[in-house]
Amino acid sequence: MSAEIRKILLIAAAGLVLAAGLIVLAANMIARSWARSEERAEALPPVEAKTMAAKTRQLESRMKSLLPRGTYLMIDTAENRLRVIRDGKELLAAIVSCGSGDILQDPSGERKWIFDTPRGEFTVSSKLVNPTWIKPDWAFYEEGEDLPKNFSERIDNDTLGDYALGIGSGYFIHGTLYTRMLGRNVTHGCVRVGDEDLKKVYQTVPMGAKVYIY
Amino acid sequence: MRIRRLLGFIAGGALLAANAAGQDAAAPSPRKAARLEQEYTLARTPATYFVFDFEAGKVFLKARGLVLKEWPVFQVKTWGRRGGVMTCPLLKKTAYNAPQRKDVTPGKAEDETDTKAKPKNDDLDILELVKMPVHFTLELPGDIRMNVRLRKSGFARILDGAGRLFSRGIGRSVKTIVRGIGKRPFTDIEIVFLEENAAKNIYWSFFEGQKCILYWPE
Repeated sequence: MSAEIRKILLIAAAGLVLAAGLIVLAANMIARSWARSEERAEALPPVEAKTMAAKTRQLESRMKSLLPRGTYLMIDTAENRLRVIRDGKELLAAIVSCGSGDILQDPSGERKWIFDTPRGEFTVSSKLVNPTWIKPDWAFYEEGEDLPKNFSERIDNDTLGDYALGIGSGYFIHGTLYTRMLGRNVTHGCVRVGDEDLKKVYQTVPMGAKVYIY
Repeated sequence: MRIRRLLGFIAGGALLAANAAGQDAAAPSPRKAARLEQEYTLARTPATYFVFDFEAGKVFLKARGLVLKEWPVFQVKTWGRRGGVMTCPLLKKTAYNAPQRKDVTPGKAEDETDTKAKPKNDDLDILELVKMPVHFTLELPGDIRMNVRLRKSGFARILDGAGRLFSRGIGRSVKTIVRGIGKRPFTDIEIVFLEENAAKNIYWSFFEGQKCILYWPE
Protein backbone atom coordinates (compact mmCIF):
# COMPACT_ATOMS: atom_id res chain seq x y z
CA MET A 1 0.00 0.00 0.00
CA SER A 2 1.50 3.34 -1.01
CA ALA A 3 2.19 6.03 1.55
CA GLU A 4 -0.43 8.26 -0.10
CA ILE A 5 -3.21 5.71 0.35
CA ARG A 6 -2.14 5.02 3.92
CA LYS A 7 -2.30 8.73 4.63
CA ILE A 8 -5.81 9.02 3.16
CA LEU A 9 -7.03 6.03 5.16
CA LEU A 10 -5.60 7.46 8.37
CA ILE A 11 -7.28 10.81 7.77
CA ALA A 12 -10.57 9.05 6.96
CA ALA A 13 -10.33 6.94 10.13
CA ALA A 14 -9.55 10.02 12.23
CA GLY A 15 -12.49 11.79 10.62
CA LEU A 16 -14.81 8.90 11.43
CA VAL A 17 -13.67 8.80 15.05
CA LEU A 18 -14.13 12.55 15.33
CA ALA A 19 -17.60 12.37 13.78
CA ALA A 20 -18.57 9.54 16.10
CA GLY A 21 -17.30 11.52 19.06
CA LEU A 22 -19.31 14.57 18.05
CA ILE A 23 -22.45 12.47 17.56
CA VAL A 24 -22.06 10.90 20.99
CA LEU A 25 -21.38 14.29 22.59
CA ALA A 26 -24.41 15.90 20.96
CA ALA A 27 -26.61 12.96 21.95
CA ASN A 28 -25.37 13.17 25.53
CA MET A 29 -26.25 16.83 25.71
CA ILE A 30 -29.75 16.18 24.37
CA ALA A 31 -30.31 13.26 26.73
CA ARG A 32 -29.17 15.30 29.72
CA SER A 33 -31.48 18.16 28.77
CA TRP A 34 -34.40 15.69 28.73
CA ALA A 35 -33.38 14.35 32.14
CA ARG A 36 -32.95 17.83 33.65
CA SER A 37 -36.35 19.01 32.41
CA GLU A 38 -38.04 16.45 34.71
CA GLU A 39 -35.85 16.84 37.74
CA ARG A 40 -36.67 20.25 39.10
CA ALA A 41 -37.24 19.59 42.82
CA GLU A 42 -38.35 22.71 44.62
CA ALA A 43 -38.49 23.27 48.34
CA LEU A 44 -42.03 23.50 49.67
CA PRO A 45 -43.18 26.55 51.62
CA PRO A 46 -43.63 25.78 55.36
CA VAL A 47 -47.45 25.55 55.29
CA GLU A 48 -47.46 23.13 52.38
CA ALA A 49 -44.68 21.11 54.01
CA LYS A 50 -46.83 20.65 57.10
CA THR A 51 -49.83 19.57 55.04
CA MET A 52 -47.69 17.17 53.08
CA ALA A 53 -46.26 15.67 56.27
CA ALA A 54 -49.78 15.04 57.56
CA LYS A 55 -50.85 13.56 54.24
CA THR A 56 -47.79 11.30 54.17
CA ARG A 57 -48.52 10.03 57.67
CA GLN A 58 -52.10 9.33 56.65
CA LEU A 59 -50.99 7.42 53.57
CA GLU A 60 -48.48 5.39 55.57
CA SER A 61 -51.23 4.48 58.00
CA ARG A 62 -53.56 3.47 55.18
CA MET A 63 -50.85 1.36 53.56
CA LYS A 64 -50.33 -0.43 56.85
CA SER A 65 -54.03 -1.17 57.10
CA LEU A 66 -53.92 -3.03 53.77
CA LEU A 67 -51.34 -5.55 54.96
CA PRO A 68 -52.68 -9.02 55.77
CA ARG A 69 -53.29 -9.96 59.37
CA GLY A 70 -53.29 -13.34 61.06
CA THR A 71 -52.77 -16.38 58.85
CA TYR A 72 -52.25 -16.10 55.12
CA LEU A 73 -50.81 -18.07 52.24
CA MET A 74 -48.13 -17.12 49.75
CA ILE A 75 -47.88 -19.22 46.58
CA ASP A 76 -44.90 -18.70 44.30
CA THR A 77 -45.78 -20.07 40.85
CA ALA A 78 -42.22 -19.56 39.56
CA GLU A 79 -40.60 -21.69 42.24
CA ASN A 80 -43.69 -23.85 42.93
CA ARG A 81 -43.60 -23.11 46.64
CA LEU A 82 -46.37 -22.53 49.12
CA ARG A 83 -45.86 -20.87 52.48
CA VAL A 84 -48.23 -20.44 55.37
CA ILE A 85 -47.52 -17.27 57.35
CA ARG A 86 -49.01 -16.30 60.70
CA ASP A 87 -48.22 -12.99 62.38
CA GLY A 88 -45.15 -12.59 60.23
CA LYS A 89 -43.73 -16.05 60.96
CA GLU A 90 -43.54 -18.91 58.51
CA LEU A 91 -45.47 -21.92 59.80
CA LEU A 92 -45.08 -24.16 56.79
CA ALA A 93 -43.22 -24.29 53.48
CA ALA A 94 -44.33 -26.83 50.89
CA ILE A 95 -43.41 -27.84 47.36
CA VAL A 96 -46.44 -27.63 45.09
CA SER A 97 -47.43 -27.72 41.43
CA CYS A 98 -48.90 -24.72 39.67
CA GLY A 99 -50.38 -24.05 36.24
CA SER A 100 -48.62 -25.17 33.07
CA GLY A 101 -49.64 -22.19 30.93
CA ASP A 102 -50.71 -24.59 28.16
CA ILE A 103 -53.51 -23.71 25.77
CA LEU A 104 -56.37 -26.04 24.83
CA GLN A 105 -59.03 -25.39 22.23
CA ASP A 106 -62.26 -27.32 21.94
CA PRO A 107 -62.82 -29.26 18.68
CA SER A 108 -65.10 -26.56 17.26
CA GLY A 109 -62.44 -23.95 17.93
CA GLU A 110 -64.96 -21.74 19.71
CA ARG A 111 -63.65 -22.10 23.24
CA LYS A 112 -60.12 -21.81 24.52
CA TRP A 113 -58.65 -22.58 27.92
CA ILE A 114 -55.32 -21.24 29.17
CA PHE A 115 -54.05 -23.29 32.09
CA ASP A 116 -52.55 -20.53 34.22
CA THR A 117 -52.72 -20.28 37.99
CA PRO A 118 -54.29 -16.85 38.49
CA ARG A 119 -52.21 -14.19 40.24
CA GLY A 120 -53.12 -11.64 42.83
CA GLU A 121 -54.87 -11.63 46.19
CA PHE A 122 -57.58 -14.20 46.81
CA THR A 123 -59.57 -15.41 49.80
CA VAL A 124 -60.17 -18.93 51.08
CA SER A 125 -63.88 -19.18 50.33
CA SER A 126 -64.43 -22.89 50.99
CA LYS A 127 -62.80 -25.79 52.80
CA LEU A 128 -63.73 -29.32 51.76
CA VAL A 129 -62.96 -32.78 53.10
CA ASN A 130 -62.77 -35.64 50.57
CA PRO A 131 -63.65 -33.27 47.76
CA THR A 132 -65.35 -34.48 44.62
CA TRP A 133 -64.14 -33.21 41.29
CA ILE A 134 -66.88 -32.43 38.80
CA LYS A 135 -64.87 -32.74 35.61
CA PRO A 136 -65.30 -29.71 33.36
CA ASP A 137 -65.49 -29.92 29.57
CA TRP A 138 -61.75 -29.35 29.03
CA ALA A 139 -60.94 -32.51 31.00
CA PHE A 140 -62.70 -34.53 28.28
CA TYR A 141 -61.42 -32.54 25.31
CA GLU A 142 -57.87 -32.89 26.60
CA GLU A 143 -58.21 -36.67 26.47
CA GLY A 144 -59.73 -36.53 23.00
CA GLU A 145 -63.07 -37.71 24.37
CA ASP A 146 -66.62 -36.57 23.67
CA LEU A 147 -68.53 -34.76 26.39
CA PRO A 148 -70.46 -37.27 28.57
CA LYS A 149 -74.23 -37.48 28.23
CA ASN A 150 -74.71 -38.37 31.90
CA PHE A 151 -73.66 -36.03 34.66
CA SER A 152 -72.49 -39.01 36.73
CA GLU A 153 -69.67 -39.53 34.25
CA ARG A 154 -68.19 -36.21 35.34
CA ILE A 155 -67.87 -37.24 38.99
CA ASP A 156 -64.36 -38.09 40.17
CA ASN A 157 -63.78 -38.79 43.87
CA ASP A 158 -60.09 -39.60 43.73
CA THR A 159 -58.16 -36.92 41.91
CA LEU A 160 -58.40 -34.01 44.35
CA GLY A 161 -57.03 -35.86 47.37
CA ASP A 162 -58.21 -35.58 50.99
CA TYR A 163 -58.81 -31.85 51.28
CA ALA A 164 -59.42 -28.81 49.12
CA LEU A 165 -59.43 -25.07 49.78
CA GLY A 166 -61.37 -23.01 47.27
CA ILE A 167 -60.15 -19.55 46.27
CA GLY A 168 -62.94 -18.69 43.85
CA SER A 169 -63.69 -19.00 40.11
CA GLY A 170 -63.23 -22.77 40.20
CA TYR A 171 -59.63 -22.68 41.45
CA PHE A 172 -58.61 -24.87 44.38
CA ILE A 173 -55.63 -25.79 46.48
CA HIS A 174 -55.99 -29.55 46.58
CA GLY A 175 -54.22 -32.89 46.76
CA THR A 176 -52.72 -34.90 43.97
CA LEU A 177 -52.12 -38.46 42.81
CA TYR A 178 -49.08 -37.33 40.82
CA THR A 179 -46.66 -36.55 43.61
CA ARG A 180 -43.60 -37.00 41.41
CA MET A 181 -44.70 -33.89 39.55
CA LEU A 182 -44.60 -31.67 42.61
CA GLY A 183 -42.23 -28.79 41.98
CA ARG A 184 -43.14 -28.62 38.28
CA ASN A 185 -45.63 -26.44 36.43
CA VAL A 186 -48.02 -29.13 35.24
CA THR A 187 -51.52 -28.34 36.49
CA HIS A 188 -54.55 -26.88 34.76
CA GLY A 189 -54.48 -23.85 37.03
CA CYS A 190 -55.15 -25.26 40.48
CA VAL A 191 -52.39 -25.62 43.07
CA ARG A 192 -51.57 -29.22 43.91
CA VAL A 193 -50.06 -30.06 47.29
CA GLY A 194 -48.67 -33.32 48.70
CA ASP A 195 -50.83 -35.19 51.22
CA GLU A 196 -48.96 -34.37 54.43
CA ASP A 197 -48.52 -30.70 53.62
CA LEU A 198 -52.12 -30.40 52.44
CA LYS A 199 -53.39 -31.71 55.76
CA LYS A 200 -51.33 -29.11 57.63
CA VAL A 201 -52.56 -26.36 55.31
CA TYR A 202 -56.16 -27.44 55.82
CA GLN A 203 -55.76 -27.50 59.60
CA THR A 204 -53.87 -24.22 59.82
CA VAL A 205 -55.52 -21.90 57.32
CA PRO A 206 -58.97 -20.64 58.26
CA MET A 207 -61.87 -19.61 56.05
CA GLY A 208 -61.45 -16.03 54.88
CA ALA A 209 -57.65 -16.20 54.99
CA LYS A 210 -55.88 -14.27 52.28
CA VAL A 211 -53.97 -16.09 49.56
CA TYR A 212 -51.28 -14.26 47.57
CA ILE A 213 -50.36 -15.94 44.30
CA TYR A 214 -47.53 -14.54 42.21
CA MET B 1 -34.27 34.95 90.29
CA ARG B 2 -31.71 35.76 87.67
CA ILE B 3 -30.68 32.13 87.53
CA ARG B 4 -34.29 31.02 87.12
CA ARG B 5 -34.76 33.52 84.30
CA LEU B 6 -31.59 32.34 82.65
CA LEU B 7 -32.65 28.71 82.96
CA GLY B 8 -36.02 29.65 81.55
CA PHE B 9 -34.42 31.28 78.50
CA ILE B 10 -32.15 28.28 77.95
CA ALA B 11 -35.08 25.84 78.24
CA GLY B 12 -37.20 27.95 75.89
CA GLY B 13 -34.37 28.19 73.37
CA ALA B 14 -33.80 24.45 73.52
CA LEU B 15 -37.50 23.81 72.92
CA LEU B 16 -37.59 26.11 69.92
CA ALA B 17 -34.47 24.53 68.46
CA ALA B 18 -35.88 21.04 68.98
CA ASN B 19 -39.15 22.04 67.36
CA ALA B 20 -37.36 23.49 64.34
CA ALA B 21 -35.12 20.43 64.02
CA GLY B 22 -38.14 18.17 64.36
CA GLN B 23 -39.93 20.05 61.61
CA ASP B 24 -36.90 19.76 59.28
CA ALA B 25 -36.62 16.03 59.97
CA ALA B 26 -40.35 15.58 59.35
CA ALA B 27 -40.38 17.72 56.21
CA PRO B 28 -41.44 15.21 53.57
CA SER B 29 -39.90 14.90 50.17
CA PRO B 30 -42.60 15.59 47.53
CA ARG B 31 -41.18 12.70 45.54
CA LYS B 32 -41.48 10.24 48.42
CA ALA B 33 -45.00 11.44 49.10
CA ALA B 34 -45.89 10.97 45.42
CA ARG B 35 -44.49 7.44 45.50
CA LEU B 36 -46.54 6.60 48.56
CA GLU B 37 -49.67 7.99 46.99
CA GLN B 38 -49.13 6.10 43.77
CA GLU B 39 -48.35 2.89 45.58
CA TYR B 40 -51.46 3.26 47.72
CA THR B 41 -53.54 3.52 44.54
CA LEU B 42 -52.11 0.20 43.33
CA ALA B 43 -52.20 -1.51 46.72
CA ARG B 44 -55.94 -0.85 47.08
CA THR B 45 -56.61 -3.42 44.33
CA PRO B 46 -56.05 -7.19 44.69
CA ALA B 47 -53.59 -7.24 41.79
CA THR B 48 -49.85 -7.73 42.21
CA TYR B 49 -47.58 -4.90 41.08
CA PHE B 50 -43.89 -4.17 40.65
CA VAL B 51 -41.83 -1.38 42.19
CA PHE B 52 -38.58 -0.55 40.44
CA ASP B 53 -36.83 1.40 43.17
CA PHE B 54 -33.75 2.76 41.44
CA GLU B 55 -32.82 4.73 44.56
CA ALA B 56 -32.63 1.67 46.79
CA GLY B 57 -31.26 -0.45 43.94
CA LYS B 58 -34.01 -3.07 44.26
CA VAL B 59 -36.97 -4.45 42.38
CA PHE B 60 -40.00 -5.49 44.43
CA LEU B 61 -43.01 -7.61 43.59
CA LYS B 62 -45.83 -6.60 45.91
CA ALA B 63 -49.50 -6.98 46.67
CA ARG B 64 -51.42 -4.81 49.13
CA GLY B 65 -48.12 -3.27 50.16
CA LEU B 66 -46.75 -6.68 51.17
CA VAL B 67 -43.39 -7.56 49.67
CA LEU B 68 -43.82 -10.92 47.93
CA LYS B 69 -40.37 -11.01 46.40
CA GLU B 70 -37.43 -8.66 46.01
CA TRP B 71 -34.28 -8.71 43.94
CA PRO B 72 -31.16 -6.54 44.33
CA VAL B 73 -30.04 -4.71 41.23
CA PHE B 74 -26.35 -4.60 40.42
CA GLN B 75 -26.53 -1.51 38.22
CA VAL B 76 -29.08 0.87 36.75
CA LYS B 77 -28.37 3.28 33.93
CA THR B 78 -30.97 5.69 32.63
CA TRP B 79 -30.65 7.49 29.34
CA GLY B 80 -32.98 10.30 28.43
CA ARG B 81 -36.13 11.47 30.12
CA ARG B 82 -36.86 10.35 33.65
CA GLY B 83 -39.98 11.09 35.61
CA GLY B 84 -39.21 11.06 39.34
CA VAL B 85 -42.04 8.73 40.21
CA MET B 86 -44.34 7.19 37.66
CA THR B 87 -46.91 4.41 37.51
CA CYS B 88 -47.56 2.60 34.28
CA PRO B 89 -48.54 -0.79 32.89
CA LEU B 90 -46.24 -3.17 31.07
CA LEU B 91 -47.15 -2.95 27.39
CA LYS B 92 -44.95 -5.66 26.02
CA LYS B 93 -42.02 -7.87 26.94
CA THR B 94 -39.73 -9.20 24.26
CA ALA B 95 -36.80 -11.56 24.28
CA TYR B 96 -34.78 -13.38 21.72
CA ASN B 97 -36.10 -16.93 21.56
CA ALA B 98 -38.73 -16.30 24.25
CA PRO B 99 -40.45 -19.45 25.53
CA GLN B 100 -43.93 -19.99 24.11
CA ARG B 101 -47.06 -21.56 25.50
CA LYS B 102 -47.75 -25.05 24.28
CA ASP B 103 -50.93 -25.95 22.42
CA VAL B 104 -52.32 -29.12 23.93
CA THR B 105 -53.07 -31.78 21.36
CA PRO B 106 -56.26 -33.56 22.44
CA GLY B 107 -55.61 -37.15 23.36
CA LYS B 108 -51.89 -36.57 23.78
CA ALA B 109 -51.76 -34.89 27.19
CA GLU B 110 -48.70 -35.53 29.39
CA ASP B 111 -49.18 -38.91 31.02
CA GLU B 112 -49.16 -38.04 34.68
CA THR B 113 -50.46 -41.45 35.65
CA ASP B 114 -47.17 -43.02 34.61
CA THR B 115 -45.80 -44.14 37.97
CA LYS B 116 -42.49 -45.30 36.57
CA ALA B 117 -39.71 -43.36 38.25
CA LYS B 118 -38.23 -40.71 36.02
CA PRO B 119 -35.33 -38.38 36.67
CA LYS B 120 -36.60 -35.29 38.48
CA ASN B 121 -35.36 -32.94 35.81
CA ASP B 122 -36.54 -34.84 32.75
CA ASP B 123 -37.37 -32.41 30.04
CA LEU B 124 -41.12 -31.91 30.06
CA ASP B 125 -42.41 -29.54 27.40
CA ILE B 126 -43.78 -27.03 29.87
CA LEU B 127 -43.25 -23.38 30.74
CA GLU B 128 -40.95 -23.22 33.72
CA LEU B 129 -38.79 -20.67 35.45
CA VAL B 130 -35.60 -22.38 34.31
CA LYS B 131 -36.57 -21.78 30.68
CA MET B 132 -37.15 -18.05 31.09
CA PRO B 133 -34.71 -15.68 29.34
CA VAL B 134 -32.15 -13.59 31.24
CA HIS B 135 -31.92 -10.83 28.63
CA PHE B 136 -35.14 -9.16 27.63
CA THR B 137 -36.82 -5.82 27.03
CA LEU B 138 -39.82 -4.38 28.81
CA GLU B 139 -41.77 -1.73 26.93
CA LEU B 140 -43.73 0.81 28.92
CA PRO B 141 -45.86 3.77 27.82
CA GLY B 142 -44.22 7.10 27.05
CA ASP B 143 -41.53 5.45 24.97
CA ILE B 144 -39.80 3.89 27.95
CA ARG B 145 -37.80 0.74 27.40
CA MET B 146 -36.21 -1.26 30.17
CA ASN B 147 -33.47 -3.57 29.05
CA VAL B 148 -32.77 -6.30 31.56
CA ARG B 149 -29.52 -8.17 31.38
CA LEU B 150 -27.03 -10.15 33.40
CA ARG B 151 -23.58 -8.95 34.28
CA LYS B 152 -21.17 -10.97 32.25
CA SER B 153 -17.67 -11.87 33.31
CA GLY B 154 -14.37 -12.60 31.67
CA PHE B 155 -13.98 -12.55 27.89
CA ALA B 156 -17.77 -12.51 27.40
CA ARG B 157 -17.82 -9.20 29.22
CA ILE B 158 -15.26 -7.69 26.86
CA LEU B 159 -17.19 -8.89 23.80
CA ASP B 160 -20.47 -7.67 25.27
CA GLY B 161 -18.92 -4.31 26.06
CA ALA B 162 -17.63 -3.93 22.52
CA GLY B 163 -21.02 -4.80 21.08
CA ARG B 164 -22.79 -2.39 23.35
CA LEU B 165 -20.30 0.36 22.59
CA PHE B 166 -21.57 0.29 19.05
CA SER B 167 -25.29 -0.20 19.71
CA ARG B 168 -25.52 2.07 22.74
CA GLY B 169 -22.76 4.48 21.75
CA ILE B 170 -23.47 5.15 18.10
CA GLY B 171 -26.91 3.64 17.49
CA ARG B 172 -28.59 5.23 20.46
CA SER B 173 -26.78 8.53 19.92
CA VAL B 174 -28.08 8.81 16.38
CA LYS B 175 -31.58 7.93 17.60
CA THR B 176 -31.29 10.62 20.30
CA ILE B 177 -30.29 13.30 17.81
CA VAL B 178 -33.10 12.37 15.42
CA ARG B 179 -35.64 12.34 18.29
CA GLY B 180 -34.22 15.57 19.64
CA ILE B 181 -34.83 17.28 16.31
CA GLY B 182 -38.34 15.83 16.23
CA LYS B 183 -38.91 16.78 19.90
CA ARG B 184 -39.88 13.21 20.81
CA PRO B 185 -37.87 12.29 23.89
CA PHE B 186 -37.54 8.69 25.00
CA THR B 187 -36.15 6.78 27.96
CA ASP B 188 -33.81 3.81 27.93
CA ILE B 189 -33.23 2.10 31.24
CA GLU B 190 -30.65 -0.61 31.58
CA ILE B 191 -31.03 -2.88 34.60
CA VAL B 192 -28.21 -5.28 35.33
CA PHE B 193 -28.57 -8.22 37.69
CA LEU B 194 -25.85 -10.40 39.11
CA GLU B 195 -28.05 -13.47 39.47
CA GLU B 196 -29.79 -15.36 36.71
CA ASN B 197 -32.67 -16.21 39.03
CA ALA B 198 -33.53 -12.54 39.49
CA ALA B 199 -33.87 -11.84 35.77
CA LYS B 200 -35.81 -15.07 35.14
CA ASN B 201 -38.17 -14.39 38.01
CA ILE B 202 -38.95 -10.93 36.70
CA TYR B 203 -39.66 -12.26 33.21
CA TRP B 204 -41.93 -14.90 34.71
CA SER B 205 -43.78 -12.62 37.10
CA PHE B 206 -44.15 -9.43 35.09
CA PHE B 207 -47.03 -9.93 32.69
CA GLU B 208 -48.45 -7.59 30.10
CA GLY B 209 -50.96 -5.19 31.57
CA GLN B 210 -49.54 -5.46 35.07
CA LYS B 211 -48.79 -2.13 36.72
CA CYS B 212 -45.43 -0.98 38.00
CA ILE B 213 -43.95 2.05 39.75
CA LEU B 214 -40.67 3.51 38.56
CA TYR B 215 -38.87 5.49 41.24
CA TRP B 216 -35.75 7.43 40.43
CA PRO B 217 -33.43 8.97 43.03
CA GLU B 218 -33.48 12.71 43.52
